[in-house]
Amino acid sequence: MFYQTRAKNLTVLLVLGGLALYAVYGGYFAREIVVEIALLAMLAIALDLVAGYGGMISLCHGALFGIGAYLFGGLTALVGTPVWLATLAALAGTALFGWAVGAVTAGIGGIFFIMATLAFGQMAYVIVFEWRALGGDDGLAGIPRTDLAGIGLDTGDSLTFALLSLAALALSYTIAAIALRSSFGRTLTGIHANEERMRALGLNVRRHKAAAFALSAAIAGAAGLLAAQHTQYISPEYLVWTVSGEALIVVILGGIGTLAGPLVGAVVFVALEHVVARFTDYWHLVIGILLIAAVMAGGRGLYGEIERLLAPGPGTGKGGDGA
Amino acid sequence: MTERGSKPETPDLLEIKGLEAGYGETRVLHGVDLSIARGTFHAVLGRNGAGKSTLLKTIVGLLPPSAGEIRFAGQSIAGQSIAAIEAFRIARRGIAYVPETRDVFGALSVRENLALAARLAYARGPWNTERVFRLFPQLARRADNGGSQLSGGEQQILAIARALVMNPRLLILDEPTEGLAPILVGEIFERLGDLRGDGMTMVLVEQNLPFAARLADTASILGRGRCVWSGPAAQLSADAKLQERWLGI
Repeated sequence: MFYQTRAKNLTVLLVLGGLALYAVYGGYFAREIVVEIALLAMLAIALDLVAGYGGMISLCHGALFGIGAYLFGGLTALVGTPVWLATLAALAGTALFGWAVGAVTAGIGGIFFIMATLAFGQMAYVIVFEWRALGGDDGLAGIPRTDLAGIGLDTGDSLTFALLSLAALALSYTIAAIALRSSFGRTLTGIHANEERMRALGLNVRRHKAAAFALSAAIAGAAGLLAAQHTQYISPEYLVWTVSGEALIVVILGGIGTLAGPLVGAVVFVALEHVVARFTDYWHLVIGILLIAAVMAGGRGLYGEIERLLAPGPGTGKGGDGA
Repeated sequence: MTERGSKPETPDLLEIKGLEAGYGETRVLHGVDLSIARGTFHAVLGRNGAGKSTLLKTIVGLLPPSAGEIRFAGQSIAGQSIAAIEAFRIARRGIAYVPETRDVFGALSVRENLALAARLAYARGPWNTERVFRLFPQLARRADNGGSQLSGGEQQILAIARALVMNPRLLILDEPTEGLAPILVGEIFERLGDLRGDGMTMVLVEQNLPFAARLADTASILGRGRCVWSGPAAQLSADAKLQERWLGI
């Protein structure tokens, strides 16, 4: 069960505040990194929702991210749909795809579930890759950003866009936290702990899993459509399964089933990618070692360590979020 | 076996005919026949491995039968004549099941465990969190404790309470006193007696014959995957030969 504890408040505020300051004082390159972190964190939150709380380890979240990007990019750049309408359509479209993945895979357990989500992801990748109208392998350019001139914001400005991305991250976290605190989240925790028991209590498990996946997909799709706006160019690379793998690494590194952890994981992942890559090509090795350390330290990731620092002493017994 | 448009209300809430079920290649139930009337407390007894828990799992839809039929409140819920009904739909028709493993949600508090079941409840009825807290005051005292912090006895009581907030028409209990201290066995005995007084239809699987026989109106004995005896519970407690044959060690 999810509780928005003081440690989580602090962690989220520190990450968001720190990134905002970095964007304001850090110049263009810093702002690019902030956007990268914010979007990766959104994707990781989406994944933690189903994986950490629902026990559904998905390898199709990269595809959901890409579907959001391509729905938005295709509708705006090719069809000329207004940005607000394309945004809604992209969110609804990814949610629908996520719902379908959740409904179809609901009865599949363990490793087969992971493989089934991977198959869905690869299917989406192949469709985008082969679809000539979407540019295929060449990608798709000429994607507009949200026009907020009406409220005096220039989203073409790197700082404005970075802060907008952070706002989207804050909103995604809030939506996920509210969902997890509600009876919806309680039920999801119950499915994770004991699916058979939930069925015997009268729950339509398939429907609930599909709904959770749809919500998760909408958040992943939001990250994707913001990524499309950010670079204003998209390619099938977005849907490659390694994106899903990276998201999963971020979740586990940050702390699976903590919701705040993925934010920390995204910061560390992107920072390492840029800092370590300056010295060596083997930055994945550093991530790998960190990941092993995080898993061996008790499986609560970096956030688990933060929680221990902020709230020392024995847990309240409710500390374990994900079932 | 065909569904009739207007079926006469039979006195039996649960009717099981020729039920066969098992796990994979292993058949555990070899044709069980059992009828349970509305408002009765029925005990199912039998040695280890007789198929008691398998029978319960099949009734609540967690295990598909390979032959036979189960009817609940006059409608078929499992059998050849119909496609398998999913467990959650059977629960919504009003069968609540307290498993041997209790399956309390450790990450949820007592109150949240109850809220979870109450929200899914198929029917509104007299049972809600306040009422189960009145029946089990020890649960009220631990309302905000996590499920994993409860003792075995408290978990058992919570599992029963969680089934009650579903407002079931049939309450099924699988060895609720197994592994509990005698004082808790007595407590659960008293509360099940209260529920019986309220007219709740119950099926209790139990190894403890004196416990079961004092509560139950009717009883059945399962042996080698079949129902080998059915009758008034009092008759069973009086028949030492019957006990010796099917329940003795």
